[in-house]
Amino acid sequence: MSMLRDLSRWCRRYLVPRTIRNWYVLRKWIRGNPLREGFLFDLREIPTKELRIHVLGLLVRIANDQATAQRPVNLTFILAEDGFSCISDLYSLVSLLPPLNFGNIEFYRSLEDCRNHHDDLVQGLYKFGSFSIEGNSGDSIGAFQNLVWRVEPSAYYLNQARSLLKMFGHDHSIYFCDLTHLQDEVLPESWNQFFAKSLSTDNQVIFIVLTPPQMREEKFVHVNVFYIKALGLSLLDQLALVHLSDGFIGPFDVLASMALQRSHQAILVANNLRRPPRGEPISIVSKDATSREIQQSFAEIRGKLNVQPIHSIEPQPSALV
Amino acid sequence: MLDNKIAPYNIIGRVKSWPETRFLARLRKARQKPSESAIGFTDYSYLPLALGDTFTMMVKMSIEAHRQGAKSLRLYLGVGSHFMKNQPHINEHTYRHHIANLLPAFLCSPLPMSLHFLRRHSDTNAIFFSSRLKKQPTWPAFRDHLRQEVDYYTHFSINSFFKEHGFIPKVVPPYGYVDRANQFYDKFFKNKFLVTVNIRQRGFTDNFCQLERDSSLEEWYRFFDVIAKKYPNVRFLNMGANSEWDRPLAKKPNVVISRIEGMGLGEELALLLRSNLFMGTSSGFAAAATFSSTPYVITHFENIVANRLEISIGDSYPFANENQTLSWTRETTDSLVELFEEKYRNLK
Repeated sequence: MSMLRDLSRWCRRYLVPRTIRNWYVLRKWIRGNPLREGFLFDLREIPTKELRIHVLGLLVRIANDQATAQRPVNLTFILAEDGFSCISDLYSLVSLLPPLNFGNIEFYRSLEDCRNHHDDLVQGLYKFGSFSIEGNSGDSIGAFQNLVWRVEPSAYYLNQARSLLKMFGHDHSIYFCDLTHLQDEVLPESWNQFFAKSLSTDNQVIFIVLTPPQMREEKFVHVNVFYIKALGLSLLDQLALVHLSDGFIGPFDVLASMALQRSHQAILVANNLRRPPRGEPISIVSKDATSREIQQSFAEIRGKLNVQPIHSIEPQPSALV
Repeated sequence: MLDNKIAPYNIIGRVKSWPETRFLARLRKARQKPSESAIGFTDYSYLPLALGDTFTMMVKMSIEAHRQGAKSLRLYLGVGSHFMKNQPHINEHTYRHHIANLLPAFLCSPLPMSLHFLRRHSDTNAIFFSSRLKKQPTWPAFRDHLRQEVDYYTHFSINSFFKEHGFIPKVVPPYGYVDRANQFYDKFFKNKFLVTVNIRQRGFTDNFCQLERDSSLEEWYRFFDVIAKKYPNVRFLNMGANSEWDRPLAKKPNVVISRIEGMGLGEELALLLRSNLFMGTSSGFAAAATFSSTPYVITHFENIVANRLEISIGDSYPFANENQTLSWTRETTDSLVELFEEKYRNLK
């Protein structure tokens, strides 16, 4: 009898409260399930050079989606080995977009690894479905242009970029020139001549030029050209420079997307261009364009718009909505 | 709106959760299956965001994984703006910059890994709690995390693991950076004796901490000049942040500065692990060399840290090989040349 009484007391004092507590705590934890809603992207087949613009396009589409804009969405990326060299840039891109839209970020080496991990996690209660983002990857190249709000790097990067641009030439028009798509160790003659001729035709223009790692730019010195590779700028630094400069020249990548969002004058090098964007201050040249063609495009965009240099305007509060 | 048509492209899926009520059953099932992965947690609300500490923490995570028989590592980083309260130069405006810069270091994990960024404290707690329920190996331990008292800097556990097993997990070249590093190597260092160098100059950066650990640049410059005359086949690769080198270094004919060439931390770490010798001040890159098989000379090693590393002043790490040396005195040109020549003779 006393044993039954003890058992009853143990149930009353220990088992029942503990079970209720565990149930309550567990439910609370599950509600806070960090991975409960998210998107999984298998990007192993995308070439490393195109990874950034694809991810940007995907992020923008998710950010624009009214259904997902209400609460943070977690992102899971599966990358090929080379793709891991871009994770700093991918992380920067996610952090550039409004933090309310994006929650946690994961990077995996394989889909199996991802599945195993989600199975391992107590909260990992997932179904993997399939869905498409309208159209093909080429459409995602619209990137920043598709945003319903405007995006800009944080004040930290903008201030650094503003200082740099003032140093390069506070009373000049400054064009950000992205030549990282070039493959050679030497600057192609067309670009070399273009920079040289620009000095004689329009000495109010300064080019800040980002070259690929293998290029030896010290052989191509021009008074109106600053090579910025040696500054070791991160992607967000580069985006801030594009954001504040007066124009952009380069392939249709993340940096070009930023320039187009700002309605900058732009010459786009048709490197991997699938669907050319349209707009007044945009001109498109082929990747093998001669210096004369580049010069002509440049004169065209310079003639169409004559805007006040943006970096001379006082900093504005963030335009994010 | 995102639609649910069949994917023509390789975007796999939208993740959905099961009903919450099945949680306990799922947990019971999960506990029956032993986990093959360990959880490594870096909560930056109380841990430092620094290169050297990152390597020490990763080795400790790998040791915990080895002890528990786990074959892979899940690296969780607490990186929301509200996490960043620990270091004065990292705040809600600048933390993205510092994290993005440091990311390649996490790819040097000795075990195959996946990277997870958590932006909310509640998420970090949820992950910890679930791994606790699942009895998954974690570093730091659950209790240490709750107390926010984590031993991330001493070598006690590393040394004891070495005594027990005769090895420690070594860092590997950062996953995904090896090809680019090899291209860089072929361009500048093919058939050369490559010495990777890191000269700590925290005074040049916005993070003014422990400036007494910085090296004398003049001594290093003279050292490069001496070596250029005596050993023309030797090339130095200067590593470190863009602000940490000064213009005279760029004029040295036998020195290549990686950041000038558009390389970043990932390529530098890959080259450090491939180089013939590493020489540098006790700092982040030195920590990478410490937990590798690369021959090294770490200079200006602080006497004050000997206790927490369980070594006597003048000794090397217990897990170091014969070509891995600590120098406990401040660098002079002569001492650098002497240390270099000793290694060069052995390694040539």
